[in-house]
Amino acid sequence: MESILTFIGRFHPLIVHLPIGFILLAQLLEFNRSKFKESEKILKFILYWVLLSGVFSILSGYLQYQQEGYLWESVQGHFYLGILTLILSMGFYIFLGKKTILKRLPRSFFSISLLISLIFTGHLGGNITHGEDHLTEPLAEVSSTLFGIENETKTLQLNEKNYSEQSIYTGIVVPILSNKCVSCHNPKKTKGGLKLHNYEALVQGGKNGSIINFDKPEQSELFLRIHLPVEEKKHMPPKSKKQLTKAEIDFISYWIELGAPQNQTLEQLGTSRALIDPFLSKEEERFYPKIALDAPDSKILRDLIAKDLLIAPVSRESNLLKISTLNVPKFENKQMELLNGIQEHLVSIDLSYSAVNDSIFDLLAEFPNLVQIKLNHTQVTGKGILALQKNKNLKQLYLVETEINGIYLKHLSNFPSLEQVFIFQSKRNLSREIELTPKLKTIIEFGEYDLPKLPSDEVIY
Amino acid sequence: MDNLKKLIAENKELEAQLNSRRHFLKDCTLGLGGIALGSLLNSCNFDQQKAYDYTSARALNPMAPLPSPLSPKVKSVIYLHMVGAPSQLELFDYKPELAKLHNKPCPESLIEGKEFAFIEGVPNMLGPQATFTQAGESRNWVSNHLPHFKKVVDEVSFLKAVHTDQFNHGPAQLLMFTGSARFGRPSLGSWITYGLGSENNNLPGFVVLTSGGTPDAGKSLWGNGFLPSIYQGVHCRSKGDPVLYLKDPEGVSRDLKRKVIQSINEINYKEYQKFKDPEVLTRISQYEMAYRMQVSVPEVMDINDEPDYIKEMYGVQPEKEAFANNCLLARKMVEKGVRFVQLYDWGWDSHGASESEALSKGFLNKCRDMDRPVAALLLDLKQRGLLEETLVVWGGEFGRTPMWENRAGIQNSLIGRDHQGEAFTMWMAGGGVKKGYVHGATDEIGFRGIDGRVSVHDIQATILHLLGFDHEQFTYDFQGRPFRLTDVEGRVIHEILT
Repeated sequence: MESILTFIGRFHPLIVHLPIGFILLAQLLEFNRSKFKESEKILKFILYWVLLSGVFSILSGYLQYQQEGYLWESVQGHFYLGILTLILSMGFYIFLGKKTILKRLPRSFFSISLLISLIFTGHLGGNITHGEDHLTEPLAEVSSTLFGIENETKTLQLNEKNYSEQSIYTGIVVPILSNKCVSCHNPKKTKGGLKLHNYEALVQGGKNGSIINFDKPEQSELFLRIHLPVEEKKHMPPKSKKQLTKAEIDFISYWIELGAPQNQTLEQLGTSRALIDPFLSKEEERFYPKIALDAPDSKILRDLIAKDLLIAPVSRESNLLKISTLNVPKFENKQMELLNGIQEHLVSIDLSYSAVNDSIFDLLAEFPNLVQIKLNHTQVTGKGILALQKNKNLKQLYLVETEINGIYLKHLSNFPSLEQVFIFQSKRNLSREIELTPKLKTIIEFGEYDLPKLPSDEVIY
Repeated sequence: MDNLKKLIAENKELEAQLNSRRHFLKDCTLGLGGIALGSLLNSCNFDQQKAYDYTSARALNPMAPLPSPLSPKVKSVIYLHMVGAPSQLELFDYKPELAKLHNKPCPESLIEGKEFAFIEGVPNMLGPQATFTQAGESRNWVSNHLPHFKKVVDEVSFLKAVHTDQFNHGPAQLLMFTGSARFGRPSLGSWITYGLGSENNNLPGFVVLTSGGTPDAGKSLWGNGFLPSIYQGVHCRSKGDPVLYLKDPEGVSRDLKRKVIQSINEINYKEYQKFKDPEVLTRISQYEMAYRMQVSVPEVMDINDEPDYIKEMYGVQPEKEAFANNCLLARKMVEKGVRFVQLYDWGWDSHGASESEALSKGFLNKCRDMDRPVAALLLDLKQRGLLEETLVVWGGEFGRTPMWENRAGIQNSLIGRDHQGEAFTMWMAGGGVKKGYVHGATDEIGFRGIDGRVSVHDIQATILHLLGFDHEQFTYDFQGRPFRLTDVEGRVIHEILT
């Protein structure tokens, strides 16, 4: 019987939309009465169905409240307003009848109050299913910046520097719980009588008592439930919800085994780095700039690929592109016009082993976002290299095994973002040809390494 | 029942994949000639797609390069594997306490319940057979057996507490390179070329170079497992013809060869149309690859055009099969866009059962022959800017015991150590890896990892991470379930990453 009631209760979200639709239809008709001949009759007919479906909605809603562990405080508004809506519809229905006392009220009273009551009932209903701030959530960021309100954050905020001082509970456990558990275990929606929104509630437990067993931590309900196989009915979070990751299960288990401490920091507890690591946010040093660009024109990409050029985004989801002429050794300066239309997208260009010459520098200056340029094994001498100072993002320049002339290297100090230049020439000692400023000394890699012979090289044991 | 459903689903998916391949073959190319000439799928117009679908290139060319799913730190890997398991206690893991215990019986508590490959009963301890100094600015310990390596010690991140659960060579090598100690899984290089393809049209994406002998686990170490066979490693010989039978026979011109291959491909293609087996496509593209390799492989495999001082730096031994030659080749290949170069150097199994296996003899020769080329490789990659986007990994399949091996209960006449999976040293260097760093530590005698222990799967996860993969997402469906290189384990070793 219980399960049938639950089953019927679950139809509530479906059934409610019937009276909602009927009422809106009635309203439409009401405001366009003049257009129809027998509008009063139709209106009455519609309202009759409003009443019928309304009664079922309220019944199923009540069942759902009883069977699914909602708190009365959180549903009462929705419940009373639902009944009010039903009463108003009934009033309207009677009003349309022949002679009733209700005729003394203005007609617009019914239509307008019914509409208002419908809107509020619906809104409160939505709040129950989706959470209090569901509707305003997307605006929260806007409003908090507008009004300077800081939201209480329950997201992970650990990084390499701050993690040791964070308390184990607020630093890691709270973000895991709020992410995966609190949506069903909170003061509004309290499945199994359990609330997990703060430490006291968590320790207090649910309708079957505490979920943490301080004497035998590994027998804690929380511990057992997260470790059960997903198929088990008692496994938490339920199969249909977002599951805990292995790292999260490991960490919660560790925390329970410690006796679920609240205030101790990760450093005091001596938590091992391996357990914490998955929760650290790693600040990634960006090699490529963060530029918002539309997807590159796929026709251009197809043409380039058809010509054996290697063109690809820097990672699968990125719109920044890198290109290489590795498979096109005959690539020449004039073919650079193939790249028209994706100048902004290109962040890396590898022209190694190609047939380009010194006028390539002027052409490359037209690519504003280039971070990396490779001209290894080409004929370039460096004449005109100064043009590359226009490439504000250029960090790496490769000129290995070229005809590079040392006198042009002094121009490199004018390049705004340049970090590394590789300039090794296996057949000559370029470093002897030129004098370098201190700045250039730090960015130019001449190579020219050697491993002098040692007596031990010759010993045969 | 569930399993059956999964198998059916997998089969359907496979069929759908084949269908899209079929569609490309039929509608998007110039037909047979198109196939023989390589990927011409771009004559196909698909204007409804906004962004370019890079995966579509795979329909015809299974080696077409694909971008990494996540931001990669490196684009190539050179993996230096010392077959037989070099002794960490004579190379990088300095244990002065062990010297004090030299030739004293091993406390029984240490070996109780432990399994060894050869040690029986109670062996004696064996002190370090090397002197150590702190090298470089990082002041990390390096043994005197590696004088040249001391110059590059600041480039590498040591992992001092790697562990494996295998203590025999074959299974341990399989675990290291396929993620499983049993046969049948794809190798690391196969996974990588499957995921990223190959950049150079004329060279294989996954090259294997061996010296000293073939590894114990054989060619499975670079096998494709259940992946399409195009992703297996290409084993190049560093002496004589790099790839056997690649040269045209006498009297056969290149033109004739081309015609032969074209005809074979046409026949193969008819076969493919009939049975839709993707392995036929693999075969077609391998014929094409072989044809192109005839020119480019001898070129890239020729180390003679390198300047003499570079050859001297590596300690190249012309016309011989040598680890030094392979290191130089590895650099040349990475420079030409080869994705994964795997080096196997055989002969590190220092049991002390024979002279070549003794820490006092054969091991020292191995050290001498490995030291200079490895140091030279790191320096050469560095001076060409290649170390920025290449990952170099060095290691063995396990480590060696702090005990003197006593085969059948009798101490070996020569100095040697038994297999040990519990703790050994590996290192990584290159893009995205910290320089001059040490992660993990072993106990006073180097028997167990006590801090920063990392598993074989962790190493694999880290390599994939640096190439821009999430090792948990990178899967291949086979026999009803998704498989991954790291199986159900593995954690990226963030500690050594920049």
